[in-house]
Amino acid sequence: MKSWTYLKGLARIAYTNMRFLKALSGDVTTLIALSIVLGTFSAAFITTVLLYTEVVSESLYAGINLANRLQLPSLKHPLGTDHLGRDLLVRIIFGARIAILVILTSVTIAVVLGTTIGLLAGYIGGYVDLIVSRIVDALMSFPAVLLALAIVTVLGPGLESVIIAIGIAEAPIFARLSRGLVAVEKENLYVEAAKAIGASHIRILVKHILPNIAGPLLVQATFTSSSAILWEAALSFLGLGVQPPTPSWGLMMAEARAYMRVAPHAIVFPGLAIFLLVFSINTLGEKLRDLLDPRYRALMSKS
Amino acid sequence: MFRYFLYRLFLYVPTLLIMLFVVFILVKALPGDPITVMYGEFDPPPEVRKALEERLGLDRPLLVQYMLYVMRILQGDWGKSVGTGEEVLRLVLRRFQATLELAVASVAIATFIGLSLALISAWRPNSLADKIIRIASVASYSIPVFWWGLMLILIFAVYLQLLPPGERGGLKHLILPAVTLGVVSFGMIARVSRASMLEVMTQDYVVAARARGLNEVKVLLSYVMRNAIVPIVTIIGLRFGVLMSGAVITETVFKYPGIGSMIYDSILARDYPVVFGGILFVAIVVMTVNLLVDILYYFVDPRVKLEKTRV
Repeated sequence: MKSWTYLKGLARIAYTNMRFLKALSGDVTTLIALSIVLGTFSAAFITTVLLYTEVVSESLYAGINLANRLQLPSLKHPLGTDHLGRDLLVRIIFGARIAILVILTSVTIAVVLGTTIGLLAGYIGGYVDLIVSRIVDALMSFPAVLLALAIVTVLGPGLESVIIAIGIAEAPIFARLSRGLVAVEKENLYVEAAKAIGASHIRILVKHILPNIAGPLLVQATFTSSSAILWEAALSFLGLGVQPPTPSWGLMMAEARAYMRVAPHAIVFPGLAIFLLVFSINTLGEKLRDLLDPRYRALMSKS
Repeated sequence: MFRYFLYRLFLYVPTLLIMLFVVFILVKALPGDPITVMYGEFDPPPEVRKALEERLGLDRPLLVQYMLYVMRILQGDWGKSVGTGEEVLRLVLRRFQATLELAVASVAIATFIGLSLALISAWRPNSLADKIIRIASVASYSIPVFWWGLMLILIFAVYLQLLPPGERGGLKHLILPAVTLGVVSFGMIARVSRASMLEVMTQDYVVAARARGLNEVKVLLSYVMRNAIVPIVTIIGLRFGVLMSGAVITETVFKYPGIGSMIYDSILARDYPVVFGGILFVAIVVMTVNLLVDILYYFVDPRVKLEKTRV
C-alpha cells in the first residue's frame, strides 16, 4: 500500500516535470538559453575533471608564448590570442569553471543564510520578526556591489573573498522573500493540521512550509545566479577577485584592457561569454517564474 | 496621513542605526588596528597613539565605541583621508555631485527607452514587437556594465572619435557613461512598466474608452500611462540602489570622478576612512531615496492609503 502511494507520487512528479520540460522547450529562445547554460556547466565540469586527472596541465591555458601575442582570430586560434599569446577560446572555456564555481558557492551561501533567517523570522513573528526585518531592510539599503566591495576590502582580494562577499550581499533578498512567504503560508490550514498532530516546529518548517515556498525561492536563486556572475566579473575586472593566471572572464577583460586599441577581440569575447551566460540564466529565470506563478498561469490560459 | 509619515520616519531611524552598525563592524574587522589604519603606513608615536585611543574610545567596550561612532558620524566627523588629509565628508560631498549628475542622466535615458518600449509592448501583447522587446529587456540587465562601457569607448571614442573616452567636463563627457548605465537599466523599467500597463489595459475604463472609439494613442497616453505610472515611478525609485551599484562600476571604467571611482581608488590606496565614508554616504542616500519614494507613493496614489494604514 505504502509503496503504491510512493509510486503514484513519483509518477506525478515525473508528469509535472514532463509538462515543465515541454513548456520550457516550447520556444527557441528558451532552448538556446538552456543549451548555453548546460554547455557552460559541462565545460566547467569537463575542464575540472581534465585538470584533476592531469590529462591536461595548467600550461594549456596559462602557458605564455610571446611570439603568438595579440593575434587576431584565425583558424589556429578561433578567437585569437591575448597579450601573453594564450589562446582565448581555451581560456574562455576554462574560465567557465570560475563562473560556475561562483554560482554554486555564493548562491548556496545566500540561499542558506537568507532563507534560514527569513523562515525563522516569518514563522516566529513578533519581536524577532520586527528586529530581523529592520536588519534586512538596512542591509538591502546597501547597494549590493558596495556591500560586496566593503567585505572584499575587509577580507582582502581573492576568489574566496568574492564568493563570501556575494553570498552575504545577496542573502538579505532571500531573507525578505522567505519571510514574506512564510508569514502568509503559516496561516494555512495544513500548518494547523500538522501542529494538531504534534509535529515539531522544525518539522513543520522544513517538511511542510519549505516545499510550498520553494518555487519563488528557486526563481530568485536563478536571478541571483546571474547577478553573482556579473558581480564576480566586475570584482575580478577591478582586480579584487580572481588573481592571475587563473582565467576568469572578468579578469581576462581587465588584462586585455591595456591592449584594447590593438586587440579588441581579447576584450570582446570574454564579455560576450558573460553576457550570453547571464542572458541565458535570466531567460530561464523569467520562464521559470511564469510557469510557477499561478497568477500568471491563470492569465495566460485566459488569453 | 501625518501618522503614516511619522510611521515611515520612525522605521527609518532604526534602519539607519543598524546600517551604521554594519559599517562600524566592517571597519572594526579591517586587518590591522584602527590607528594604523587611520595613519596609513607610518606608526604614530606612543603618546599620540594613547591620546588617540582615548579620544576614539578604543579602550571602551564595543557598544560604547559604536555609540561614539554614531555620534561622530551624526556630528559630521567622518574622519580624514589617509592620503590627502582632507575631511572625508567634504570629499564625499564634492564627489557626490558628479555621481548625481550621472545617475540623473542615466535614469532619464533608461526611463525614456523603458517606457517607450513598454508602451509598444503592452499595446499589442504577444506580437512580434512585444517578443523582441521582451528579449531586449532581459538582454539589457544581462550586460556586464564595465564591458558595455568599454565597447562604447571602443566604438565612439577610439574608432569614430566622436566622444571623449572618459573623465569629466561638460555634457560631452557625460554622454558615454550615462548611455552605458542607461542601456543597462532600461530593461527592468521596461519589464515592470509592461506588466503594470497590461494590468491597466484590462480595466473597464480602458475597454470602455476603446469601445467609444477613442484613438489608440490617446487611450495609451492618457488612460493607460497615467494609471500605470505610479508603480513605475516607485520601481525606478526603489531600484536606485541597483543604479548606484552600476554607477560605481561605470565610473571606474570611464575614470569619471564620482563617488564610485573615489571608493575604488581608495580601496587600491588602502585609504580606508574614504572607502567606508563613501560606502556609508551612498547607503544613506539610497535609504533616503527609498523613504521619499514610499512617502511620495502615498501622496500620489490614494489607493495605497487604505492598504498601508492597515499595516
